[in-house]
Amino acid sequence: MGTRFGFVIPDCDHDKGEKLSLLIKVEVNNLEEKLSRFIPSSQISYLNKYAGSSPVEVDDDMWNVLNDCKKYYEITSGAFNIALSGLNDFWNDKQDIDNPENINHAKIILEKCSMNNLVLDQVRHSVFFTNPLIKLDLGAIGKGIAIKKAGEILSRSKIRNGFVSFGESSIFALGKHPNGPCWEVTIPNLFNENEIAYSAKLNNNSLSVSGNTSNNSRSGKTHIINAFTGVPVKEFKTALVIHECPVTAEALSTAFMQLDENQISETINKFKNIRTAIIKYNADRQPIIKEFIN
Amino acid sequence: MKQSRRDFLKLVTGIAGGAIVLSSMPWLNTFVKGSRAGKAASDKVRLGIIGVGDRGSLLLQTFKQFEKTGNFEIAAVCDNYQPNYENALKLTDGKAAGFYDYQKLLDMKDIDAVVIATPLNEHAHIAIDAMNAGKHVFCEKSIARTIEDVNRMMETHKKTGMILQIGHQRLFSPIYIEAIDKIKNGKIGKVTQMRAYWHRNGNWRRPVPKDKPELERKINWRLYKEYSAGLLTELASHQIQVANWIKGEPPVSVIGSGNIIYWKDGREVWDNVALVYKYSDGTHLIYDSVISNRHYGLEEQILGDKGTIEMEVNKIYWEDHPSAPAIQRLVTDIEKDVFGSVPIGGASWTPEVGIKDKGEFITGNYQMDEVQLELEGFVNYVRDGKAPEELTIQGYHATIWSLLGEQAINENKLITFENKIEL
Repeated sequence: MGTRFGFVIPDCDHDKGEKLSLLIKVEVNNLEEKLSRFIPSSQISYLNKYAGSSPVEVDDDMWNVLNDCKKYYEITSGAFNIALSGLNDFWNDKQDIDNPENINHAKIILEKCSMNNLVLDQVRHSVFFTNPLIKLDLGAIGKGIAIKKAGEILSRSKIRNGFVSFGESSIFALGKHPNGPCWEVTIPNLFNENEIAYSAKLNNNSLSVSGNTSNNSRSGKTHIINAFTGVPVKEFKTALVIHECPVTAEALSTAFMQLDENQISETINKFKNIRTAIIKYNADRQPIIKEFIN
Repeated sequence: MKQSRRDFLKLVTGIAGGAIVLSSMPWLNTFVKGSRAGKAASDKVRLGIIGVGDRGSLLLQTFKQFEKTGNFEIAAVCDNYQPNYENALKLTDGKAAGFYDYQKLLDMKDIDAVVIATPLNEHAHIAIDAMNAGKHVFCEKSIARTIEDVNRMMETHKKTGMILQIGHQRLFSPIYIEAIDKIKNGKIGKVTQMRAYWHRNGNWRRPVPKDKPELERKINWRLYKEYSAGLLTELASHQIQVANWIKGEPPVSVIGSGNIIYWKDGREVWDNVALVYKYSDGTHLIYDSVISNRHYGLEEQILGDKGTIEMEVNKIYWEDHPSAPAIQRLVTDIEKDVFGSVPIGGASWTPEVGIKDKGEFITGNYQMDEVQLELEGFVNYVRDGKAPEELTIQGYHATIWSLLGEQAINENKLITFENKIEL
């Protein structure tokens, strides 16, 4: 998934740690080989190749993932959309995201990227793209799925305290830090990494953070596409979601990069025990934080 | 895997294609223009080795590694210590003439060149006699024990026109050649600091026969000021040479300190030294050497605003690598019993490199025998009858500033070099 996976289990002997490491590694690798569109032999690559021609049956894992994605698509009013990879590819080699010609072209591609074009047959567990040009990308949710699997392995192994990180943007915190009452994470000021913009205490829950770094925003090479305009999110902004389910946290943090405050409020009201923070910056590059709790 | 001479030629030819290398490393041209070994007996270079102790016998064995292709022969060996003398004759399979007196070796008309690997204080008079006798000279570093002796050797070299090559093998190392090329091409940005150290853990002694204690100073000459400046002339000079090579000039001043704090066994040279050399643009070379701890070993670290090069381990590190991963910091906190927060969601959440910045190799040709390449170069130069003067100048500055470092420590003050000779 193009990033680093790591976990820390403080009270665990070496042999058990090695065994857990191996178990999680195998699970994460299996997921990647199934979910990555950059692996030609993956199930998602197979779908992208053939589901536009005829329905393709998928295994239980993929079926559950796609149903979850549909659910989050509806909950977020379309902001969470795994069918935008055509737009990612389009913007990948574009230098100017303000160019009207590029923006118009993106709108044309966007029309073909609706997840309504994704038909899930609940009986046969098959997938069909009503628009053959649709391509799925599970990058916005894959880390959450992997973190969830890792957390399940740790829980099954009777691990009470642990910290799991995927790319340092998707976190699962089990129990507490050996020297404190919880696990504490901090989000830096995007303009000054030595300054803390926000901190959060985690205890048996997950955190996902999405955002633009000052570097990639400046160049326009952002990895989050606005699902309503088809244009990369340019604003210096960070969205984080804390929830017991890593997959939910992952999906919502991506969506909240695009939604306004009212839409975010409406969305989190559909969940329990959820906490969200949106970090924006003023002209002095100081963080302005808006929190949403339900 | 040991690299072949062909690999070296390929590397040097590739690097030396650049104008910077051609001008700053002219001694490599002998490899670029191809082998001149020839097959004719008239092309055969005849060498004598004077001083065949540890270093001299190593050089002898290195020569033997390419004697079949190099069209040269070790025609004579000389040492006034019998065990060394006998060992050297054995290494040449008895083919070389053996001498206890170097003058007799110099009397051999058909000797083209000599290699000098004697104690440091012996270099000057032997090299001067050799050049005056029409022999080219390869002299192990440092050049001589005193600045006066260094100057006399340089004067004789100029007067006679004979080659005076100093044994700084890093000048022929593929790693160093490529690293210097990268530095000169600005790959690591502006170099403002160089750090070098040589750490060992041992008494630096060679065994003296129990029945001949009078040989102590002869065998352990490195420990006595009459013969050597110890760590400065025997180790530091190599690294000072590298720093000078990088800066393209010698330092302008040095200050330092040295003491005997561990090996209080009658030796006279310091067992630990620390020096700061300054170059004309303000760049510093921070140097230290000890022989009571070997944890950090040997290294030259070149610090630029875009990267760092560590020559000895063949590594280059970039400044813009991602910061240490949060998970690593968390582990460090836990190990120190600290309840720290974990910084996440910064720029480092984009695809990252390894947990620790292990750097990149400067060159893949990292196991080539640079001493052999240095000696191959010498044989070629002797055959040509001349060597690039830069090679001598590199050795000159390295020795001068090793000795000025000794002076700075002795006088406990900042030393500049006033008595420069025309090079």
